[in-house]
Amino acid sequence: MSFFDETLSSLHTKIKNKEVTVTELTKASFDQIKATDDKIHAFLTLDEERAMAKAAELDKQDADHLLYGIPAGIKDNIVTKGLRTTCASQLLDNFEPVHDATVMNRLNDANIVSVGKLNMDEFAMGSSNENSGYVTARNPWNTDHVPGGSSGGSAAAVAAGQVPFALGSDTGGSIRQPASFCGVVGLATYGRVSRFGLVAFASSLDQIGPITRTVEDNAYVLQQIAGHDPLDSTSAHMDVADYTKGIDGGVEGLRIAVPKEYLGEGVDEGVKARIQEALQKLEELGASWEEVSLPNSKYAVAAYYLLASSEASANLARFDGVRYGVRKEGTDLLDLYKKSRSEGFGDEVKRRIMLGTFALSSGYYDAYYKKAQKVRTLIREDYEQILHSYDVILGPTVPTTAFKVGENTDDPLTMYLKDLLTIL
Amino acid sequence: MLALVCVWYTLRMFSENLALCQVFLMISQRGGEEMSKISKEQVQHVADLARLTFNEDEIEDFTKQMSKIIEYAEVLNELDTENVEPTTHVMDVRNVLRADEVKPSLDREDALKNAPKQKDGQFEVPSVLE
Repeated sequence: MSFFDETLSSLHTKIKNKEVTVTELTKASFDQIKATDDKIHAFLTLDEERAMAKAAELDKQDADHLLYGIPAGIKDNIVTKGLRTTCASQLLDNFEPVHDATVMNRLNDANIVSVGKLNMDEFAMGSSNENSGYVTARNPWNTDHVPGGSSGGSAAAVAAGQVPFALGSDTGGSIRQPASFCGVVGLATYGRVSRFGLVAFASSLDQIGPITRTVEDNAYVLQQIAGHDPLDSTSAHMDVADYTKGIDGGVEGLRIAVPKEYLGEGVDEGVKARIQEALQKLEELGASWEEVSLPNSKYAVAAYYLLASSEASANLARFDGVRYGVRKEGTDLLDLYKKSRSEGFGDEVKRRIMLGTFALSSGYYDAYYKKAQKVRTLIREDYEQILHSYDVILGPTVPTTAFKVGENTDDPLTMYLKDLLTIL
Repeated sequence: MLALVCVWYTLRMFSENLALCQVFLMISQRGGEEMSKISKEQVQHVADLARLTFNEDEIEDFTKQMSKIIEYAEVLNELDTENVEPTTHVMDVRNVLRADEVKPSLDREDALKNAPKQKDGQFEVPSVLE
């Protein structure tokens, strides 16, 4: 029997009525991880001893929050005090953070039980989990296939019933794409959730969000982690709404925009067919939809990879083998930097640091970095135009279903192009 | 006076020629870039800036891969962005100020906890000065 086929609210009712103890629930989570994770590899680090101790503590009190006693997995680029946080990089193999990320504090306030840290593409750079510096996580529906990335471990753990929810992070699709590949619900949250304690990749794009089995579950987790944080000056100064309040309100009168580029070249026929079915269903339920256009969408992938890589090259400059991480000794300080970074980072991370350093370097800054920022303005204006007249924009998350492990590793550019719909 | 004008003229010609030479140099470099968007020497230079080391084969691979990616990125040049403001951040960011009061921060012990090497309560690195 798996508890994790249930929604968070039904689990909460059981905990509250003492039909199930937090200890039983936490043990069920570890049992499922032990039974399945040698094939799925969703987790990089388990925190069993502390989790079981916390569960026992929580069983002594009454559940006062919907997330009370709920086991959860955390992506390994979100810092957790005293628990190894590697970003799936060999460079951070021994890194034990000395504080918790704001999202961890918020979840701990609600008394969740964190069971461990989840696999990902190294420093969140990748769309398949094949760039993990440890082991490639697999899609639980068919382990020959990728779970997506970079939050592949988070999506796989939820899909495999190892945990009822997980946190992931998204920069160009890293929550939404693996959620789509694994058949679970993922939410991007830019500005809504504090990034304090998220190891930075591209700061103008990075965000933390929930991965859950249902939309309602996602709303409950978001409710707890959303809101301004003085420690992240880019988090929005906006009130946090009650995200579950309107959840049964229906879609009557909803105006949906469907950009034709979302259903254009490169999108699988099967994916298109599912979207058409969804639109038909929404129409039956009282929503209306119209085709619109995002004329600058063909420039999104190029602009994204220039901007994200540029920001990454600056953010990852901090990994120098001096303050944290694995150090490789060198003949002098410069040699120490170079050795620590070259031996610690994997290929894709180096590739993006190189691309970003190039785009920011003297003589190329205007032609690549600044140009990409201007193109971002044009793409943003396309969206603003549409959102003047429509409530939502609807389309597939990914142009295809989950591909096979090893199928797309030869050519980085081909892999990048698959990210079009989440980058937009 | 005449001699001075001559000197000035010679110098001027010389500097113009130099400028002309530079233009030719740029054109010939451009010509080179057409074949490969980025040269091996440029890749090596970028690697130095990024504090990364690569062997010959890796430099070769990076040159090919980066050329391909950069060539793809040239698609952006189709767009006229002359009068477009760059977007650095998608939301309004305001400056955050607070009173200059001392608040608790990271303990020295904690700050050094992950240091690969430390000495006398500080991060230890190889000597920088001779």
